[in-house]
Amino acid sequence: MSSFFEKFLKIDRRWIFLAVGLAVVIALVAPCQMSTTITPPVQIFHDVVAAATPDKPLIVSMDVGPSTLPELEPMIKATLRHAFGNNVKVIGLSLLITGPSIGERLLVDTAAEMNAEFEAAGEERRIIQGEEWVFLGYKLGLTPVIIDMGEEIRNAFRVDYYGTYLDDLPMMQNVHNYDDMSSIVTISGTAIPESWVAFAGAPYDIPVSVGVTAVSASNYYTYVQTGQMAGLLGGLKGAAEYERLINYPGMASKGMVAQFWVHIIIVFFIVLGNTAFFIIRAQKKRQTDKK
Amino acid sequence: MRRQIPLAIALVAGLFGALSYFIQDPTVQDIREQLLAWLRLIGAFAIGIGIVSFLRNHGKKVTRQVSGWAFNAVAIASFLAMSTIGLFGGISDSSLFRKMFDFAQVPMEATMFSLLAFFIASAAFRAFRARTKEATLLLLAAVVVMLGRVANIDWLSQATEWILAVPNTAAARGITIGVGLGIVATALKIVLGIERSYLGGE
Amino acid sequence: MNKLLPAIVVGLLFLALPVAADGIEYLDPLVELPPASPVLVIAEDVPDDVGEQINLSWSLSFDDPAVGGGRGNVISYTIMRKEADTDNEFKVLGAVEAGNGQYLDTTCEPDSSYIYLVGASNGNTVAFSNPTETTIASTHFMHSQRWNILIGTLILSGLLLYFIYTARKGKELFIRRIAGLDAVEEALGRATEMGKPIRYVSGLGGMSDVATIASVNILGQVARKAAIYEIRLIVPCFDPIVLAVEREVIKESYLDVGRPDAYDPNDVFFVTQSQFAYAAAVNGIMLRDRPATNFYMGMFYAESLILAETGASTGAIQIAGTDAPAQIPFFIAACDYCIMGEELYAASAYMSREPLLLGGLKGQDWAKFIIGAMIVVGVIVSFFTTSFAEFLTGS
Repeated sequence: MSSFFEKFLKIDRRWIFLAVGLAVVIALVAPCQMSTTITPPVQIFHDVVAAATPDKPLIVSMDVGPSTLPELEPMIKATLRHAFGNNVKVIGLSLLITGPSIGERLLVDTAAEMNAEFEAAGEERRIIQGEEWVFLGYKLGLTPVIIDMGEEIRNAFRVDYYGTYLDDLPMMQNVHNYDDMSSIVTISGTAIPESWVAFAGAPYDIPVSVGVTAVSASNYYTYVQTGQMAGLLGGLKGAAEYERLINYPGMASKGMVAQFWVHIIIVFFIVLGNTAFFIIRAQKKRQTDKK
Repeated sequence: MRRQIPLAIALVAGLFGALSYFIQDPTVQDIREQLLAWLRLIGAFAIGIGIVSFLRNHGKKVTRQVSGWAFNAVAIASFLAMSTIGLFGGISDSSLFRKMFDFAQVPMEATMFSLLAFFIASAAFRAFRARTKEATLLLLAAVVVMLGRVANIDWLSQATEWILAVPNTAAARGITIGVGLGIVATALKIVLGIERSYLGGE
Repeated sequence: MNKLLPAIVVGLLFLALPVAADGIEYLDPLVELPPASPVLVIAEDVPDDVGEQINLSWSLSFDDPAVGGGRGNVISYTIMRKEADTDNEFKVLGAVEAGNGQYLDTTCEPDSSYIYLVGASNGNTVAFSNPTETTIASTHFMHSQRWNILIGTLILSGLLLYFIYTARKGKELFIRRIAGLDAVEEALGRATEMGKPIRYVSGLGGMSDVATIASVNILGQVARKAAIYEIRLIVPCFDPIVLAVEREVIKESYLDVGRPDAYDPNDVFFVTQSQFAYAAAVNGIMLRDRPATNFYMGMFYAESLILAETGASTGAIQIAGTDAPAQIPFFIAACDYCIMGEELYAASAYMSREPLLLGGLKGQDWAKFIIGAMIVVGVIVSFFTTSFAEFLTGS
């Protein structure tokens, strides 16, 4: 028996990789979903986006790259659906070089998806680029861009992603700075949310709601506690909670099944590893006692 | 003399940088802008040093045919291909450069990042052993958070939130305050020329 | 005949009347009238800028649709400006849509004085307000919101300088043990025994990150020891400027201990500035060269565990140090020693035992004590008043 535990403690890590890989693949292929409990930071995030009014657009800063997309895409999608669903207009942009193509795709796709739903439901409403959403694309220079937007958004972005002057976009007519916007949502796997808080949230008194990867979420709890961040979505779990709040079972709710099984597998390995560790230690102690 | 000049530059630039944060005078702000522009320029030139180092390092391995030199050759070929395509074909959204970025580099980077999930699993297995009291605490907190993040059980979820919002935040604040003070102290020591190891040697 | 002409004229007028009346009937008399002018126009200098901005605010015209009670015929507000000393007449500066009661003039000359007019326009006529009082776009020498930071910085700097001064006078200063730094010697010893190289990664930061500067300082110390023990030191770099600095530091260190011949510049090289490509390349080096010791010191992001876990699988001794709180847990899990937060900055002082550097640490401790005391006072005060700020300002 002890040799089993000894072997287990020295297990080739590739067995662990295989177990994790299988859990992810099977869970993603299997057609099941998981419900999840709602935590306060996500509830705040939801409430702040829900409080946005149709006359003041919402900024959605998609500061994402492909590597963190599986965690962050569901958050962006849920935010866009939530806003569009409440007739809130969206100003999309990206402060990370890898963000613009992703941001544009998500805006176009979400609008198309919702338009198809409206059509199926026989509703007349459509979500149109330039009227319900604009995409400003990417601009180099993180902090100056955020500060410029506080004075006049046209100082930072003269034209949108498609090269149209902001003045020619119907929904941008009365929008000049943060006073004309309801709140800021920043979703990123980087430290960009901190810049939004420091250079937009604090000086211009506009709520900044944040979505980040699970890895960096623990960093941001301090900001949520002090109220500097108006809510926090942490990783897939945060996204799944948000999806549940807006009643839209998307990729995060599905991904939670994979995350559930992976966590269970890791906990299983940890528990078994500790059991083996204690049994071997007890045996060694017994042997030395005998001597 | 070789030491004095860099130290003097550090002193002047450091003091000016600090003061220009507090002083709003247009002349001061203009100089600050100029200095920052210089910084960006120097940074742009530095990439040249990187390229030379890159080509020399990999080139040497290819010419000497050290084991695995084929990989070095791939690195050089990829570098030359990407820069030539970018230089002559442009980097617009429809360009070949962009396509290579989107369909080669992006998925490769995503693959590297996704390895993290596997490495977290193996690191957790190895590290979370109840060897000492502290390690046991770490282990228990980790198990509660891992289960609380996925299980649909209220009290477990609340316990997870508590761990993240209270002990985690307390530790993070402590570290952040220390880091903040450390940054000021290190900066001051550099400006005053007390810390000079970054200039090489003592 | 004399009376015929006026009669014809009058008659024609009567004939024309219904036509004219027809037109009048459809004209909205409300739109034709000029709107009420905006009132309470206030021009204020924007504080803490470089003297280029004046903020205008006004109460909306009674006829603004947003007000609701009046004619609702205001379309926009026109803003006019004249420089008080030089201009004779007002020039149009810009316009904002109806419903807006604010305009930010960002085109002022520093320290010039301006007078403004704001007019409500219905498209045809503009009803102007009274001119504002002369307002100066003043330059503020000091940023008024940053006094607290300045005072804090001065107190901290004062403490640091005081303790550096006492250290210079030869006072013995105590520094607690930092296990991760003590382990450097052991790690180098092991590499010597095994005849294997050591590898030093200074993270993804640039030379302006204090973590990178601290890392370069530690590298200097490690390089000296590597030169003495004749161990090969491999340094893959992420940033070209850091590469240039690290080469210089290592060369100097080798020179200092009298082993300039042992320094090989090819072992300090640039890899890439792409985060995960860098991680892949460094992992490759670890698996091929199998260094006896891996150092990770500096600024790290998500690649931290990818590097450290691969290093652990090769059986190397691993010493990590970072000030990125999110990466510390990963290094703790995968490395043998982890230097946390400001311990990284203290490393240079710890390893060199230079009294001046140690004095700086003492100053930091006192600053921490002051902050701690303020937190305690703040907590106590908040039991009695709603906010600490109120307590401080006495309001």
